[in-house]
Amino acid sequence: MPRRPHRSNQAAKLFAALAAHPDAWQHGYDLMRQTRLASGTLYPLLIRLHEAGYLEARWEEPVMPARAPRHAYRRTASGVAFGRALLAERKMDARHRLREKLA
Amino acid sequence: MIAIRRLVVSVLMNLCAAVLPDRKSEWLHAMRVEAAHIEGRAVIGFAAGCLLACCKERVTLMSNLPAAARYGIIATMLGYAVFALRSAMHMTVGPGLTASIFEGVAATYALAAVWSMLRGGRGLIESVLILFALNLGATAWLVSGVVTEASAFNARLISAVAFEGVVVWMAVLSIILLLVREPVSPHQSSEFPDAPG
Repeated sequence: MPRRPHRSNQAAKLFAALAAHPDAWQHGYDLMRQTRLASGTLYPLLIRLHEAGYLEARWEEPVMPARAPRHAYRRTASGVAFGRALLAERKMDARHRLREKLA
Repeated sequence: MIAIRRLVVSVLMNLCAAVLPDRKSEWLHAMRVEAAHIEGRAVIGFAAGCLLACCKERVTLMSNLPAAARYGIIATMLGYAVFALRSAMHMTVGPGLTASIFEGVAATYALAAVWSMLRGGRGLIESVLILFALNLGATAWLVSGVVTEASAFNARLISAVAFEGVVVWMAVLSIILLLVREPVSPHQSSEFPDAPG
């Protein structure tokens, strides 16, 4: 079976968290808390999605008491489309599994 | 306590810097800054996770190995497996477990070769790292002196095989590191042109 990149459960969690605040730039630690993904899982995922063009990143000016600019992320237009398709696919799969269980 | 915590985080982040490919250094900076915003014990878990993330990135880079080198390493693994199996079959001296040691070695190398074939470059790097860690662990365990008189022959044998494994797989890892070059774009060395510092 061929591998389907960026379609893991972790990616779905991340896209769900990003979709919850569509226009907001979010920091790594905030995304960790929302998705409950560990940094060892989240950062490789952020790197992959950024390289694929689904996420954009920028350095945000520090807000007191922060001292250094923080890295923030949000979806690009293609990321929005990809995320929607991924979450819809997940929902369909979940429904299908539930139907099979009930049958 | 806070000072110790910060020291641990600093050590972990420095390890990250050593492991992460250079062209991804902006991500290291992003992780460092994020760590500075985390309060309490959670920061240690965060930094340890960052180290894991950096190791994953290094493995991803190393898995872009030229096909010839990849198949060469797989052939070495299979050769090792055949050699160990032949040794087990011809084993006539030593206590009963001796042949089993060679059979175990043969099975491990054969499994690593199959995994590397099935999983491509990433599988190969995983196999080499696991073999290296297993051999290093076995060597350290035997050097620590937990061997009884009765098992001394087998212990010496395992020790020799494990030490040989450490040398072989360290050499293989070094060759992989030399063969895999980081792609550097002449126009943009950074993924984030607006990165601070």
